[in-house]
Amino acid sequence: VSDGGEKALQEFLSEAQEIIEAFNRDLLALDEGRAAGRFDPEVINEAFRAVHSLKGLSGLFGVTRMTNLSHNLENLLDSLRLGRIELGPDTLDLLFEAVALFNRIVGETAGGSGDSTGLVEDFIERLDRVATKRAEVKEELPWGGFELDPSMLSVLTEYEEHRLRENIKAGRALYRIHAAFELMTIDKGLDQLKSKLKPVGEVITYLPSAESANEQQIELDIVLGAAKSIEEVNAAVAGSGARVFALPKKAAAAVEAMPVVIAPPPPTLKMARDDEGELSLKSVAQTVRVDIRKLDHLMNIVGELAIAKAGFSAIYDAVKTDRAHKKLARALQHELKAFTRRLDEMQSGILEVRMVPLGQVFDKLSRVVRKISRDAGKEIRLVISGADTELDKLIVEELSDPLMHVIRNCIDHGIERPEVRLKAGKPEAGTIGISAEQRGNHVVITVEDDGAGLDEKRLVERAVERGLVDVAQSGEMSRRDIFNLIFLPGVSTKEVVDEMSGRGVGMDVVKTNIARLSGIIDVESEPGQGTRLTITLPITLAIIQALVVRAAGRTFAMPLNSVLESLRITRQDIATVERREVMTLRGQTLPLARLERLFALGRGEEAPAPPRQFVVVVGLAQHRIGLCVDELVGQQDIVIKPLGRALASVPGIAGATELGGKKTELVLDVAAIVEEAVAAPASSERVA
Amino acid sequence: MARMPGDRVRVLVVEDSAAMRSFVTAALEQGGPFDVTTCGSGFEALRALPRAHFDLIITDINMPDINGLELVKFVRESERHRQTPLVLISTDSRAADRERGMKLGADAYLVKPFEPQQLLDIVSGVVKR
Repeated sequence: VSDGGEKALQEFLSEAQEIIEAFNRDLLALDEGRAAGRFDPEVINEAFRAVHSLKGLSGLFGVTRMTNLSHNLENLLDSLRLGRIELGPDTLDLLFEAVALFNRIVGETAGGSGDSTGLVEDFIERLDRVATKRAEVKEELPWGGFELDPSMLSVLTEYEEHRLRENIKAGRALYRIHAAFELMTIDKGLDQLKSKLKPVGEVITYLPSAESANEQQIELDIVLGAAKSIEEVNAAVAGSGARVFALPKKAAAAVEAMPVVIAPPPPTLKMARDDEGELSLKSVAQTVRVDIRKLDHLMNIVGELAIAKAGFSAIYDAVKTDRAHKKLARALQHELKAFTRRLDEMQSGILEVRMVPLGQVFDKLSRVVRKISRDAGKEIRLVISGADTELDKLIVEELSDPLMHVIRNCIDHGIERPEVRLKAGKPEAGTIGISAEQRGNHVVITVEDDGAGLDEKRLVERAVERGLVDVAQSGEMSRRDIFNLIFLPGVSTKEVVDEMSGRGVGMDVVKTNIARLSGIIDVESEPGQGTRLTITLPITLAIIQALVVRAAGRTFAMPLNSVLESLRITRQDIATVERREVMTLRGQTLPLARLERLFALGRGEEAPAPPRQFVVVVGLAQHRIGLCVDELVGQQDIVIKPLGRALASVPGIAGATELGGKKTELVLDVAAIVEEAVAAPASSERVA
Repeated sequence: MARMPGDRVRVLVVEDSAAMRSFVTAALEQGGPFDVTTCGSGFEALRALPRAHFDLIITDINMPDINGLELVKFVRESERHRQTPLVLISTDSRAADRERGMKLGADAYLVKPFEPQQLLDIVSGVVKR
């Protein structure tokens, strides 16, 4: 494949993906509307358009099974929007299934393995069965007595004509709304007018007029169907400068089409344009699609610049103490400041580009909830908030699996069966809430259910059975410790192997996935009231802020997003419990670990730890430990580089970075260090 | 209007799918002396049409808000482009809409999906006319 071909294919795939996501959102809206007894023709039409676009696109790129699938779906959706068949739950299920199938084909086309041609054929067969159930096409009604301009009728698409008939059939009045828009701002102006019209009726079509009094304006007639009086429609568009006319009926005693509101368009609609009136013909689409790897590359360069900057800082530090170069030092400081500011702007600019809203994942989750809840025979209400919270694209991608498992757990184990809920005085439908919000450089995602809560006794039993905790230990565990047992392998896995959550996928996998993203996961639960999982994630992994520390004469960097706090302590603060160093932090016992012991760095017997030292509290998933270090050097942005082969297998080291002055320093793998400290409490003694 | 040999053909492509736009643009630019201007919506086209001359207009029918049919009517009623060749693009299932477009004064239509050569054949047909 040529480069251009590859690029075009990538463009196709990403556009297809966007369309499929939009299609999915339309289906969710339809599902919601159906449950509430509403039917929004606009949404069906959007779904139709989505599939229609997929068909055209996939045809161009020779993805035949996608073309076939969309062709058949298009027919079904066309029948739906033209009112030939009704939207029932079975039909909706089929449509949701199509989303999964589309995604599969996209995956295959992107280079994944597998061929879903057979699946598509089976699916089309089932589609046909639904489509053939269609009701006979109803007798076309005349125009209900309306005197409609043939030139208006000639530009209606089949669908628009159908909507016109539906509005007439429903006994609504038809209005023509005449508005003039500045050419430059027509999109915005029309959007405003549309949102005013939406509450009063349905926009059936737009008719641009070629004859305009003014070169800079476009005049437009909007045909509206509404069960409202002309006064009400007028009130709705008040202030927009639009004029409303009722479309006359033949039978009615010649209702004169009368302009009611005559006002010039408000001056705000006018926009500055250049003197010649020569407007740019460039596309107004303001977005470009970019391969994320290109952004990674840019980010790497920013990282290199940050290192260079640190180098300059070091030079400045050296120069500023030298009196002979006082002037030079001041100039250098000035430039360095300006450089730093621009570098920060550039970095946050690139980061911003990488951000995508979490809504992308949440949409997928809604689909899963729908399927699982039905399979499990439980009614679930999904409440989503904060879908516009943004995270690095790569993190969002990695989040869907763990979140999916969490939701499955909520439905399978959290939410009780309807009869059990009713008996407990709860509403029959269970509620799962997913929310996201940004807090500083982190995003906190909360998943909570109003189910039965965690069974603490059962959790402890299982952990003991599995030999993860001994009986004596289990007696001393705090509630928090007990809840955290669900993150140990084998504890959360249900005995009964059911289709969804029984494949040996437990919360331990969720924890591992979250930890891989440098995230922290916490669980709280109240018996009978529900369970809440809180996932805290860094906004990006592309460039990280690091805390630079010194221990045993070496410098290390650790990702700041794993660092919860750092404290200055004295030796008296450290106690030893079961040969293990711990300290008390706000009433809780915090296990301590020493870098020099973890990495067997000799401090020498004769040089004991200094009396005053620092503890950096780090967290991974639900665990927290304190790392003892000698000195906190400062914070710095770093780009982690992979290690050479010699060090690659050393646990506890994530990679290397340059901190300026061309010295390579090690970046700690906090996850591995915490794992090690927690898994084998006595291991820190091993190398001492 | 008489076209001189060697003239470049100014084409306006109206299509709401970015990938489709790229495809048509690439097919034209690689296939002949075409200068392509693209619009992502009917509105953009309304904006572009009165202030520049085009030798050919290619538009998708199924677009949100201003659809391709409305655009055909607009073009045919406009002072500047009432004679300009106009090609419609649609999918095979939308035969009814296509017929309406031809009635409104479109010169030819193309059914998606199509090969670059099909597009060029149709285009050279209507531009010579």
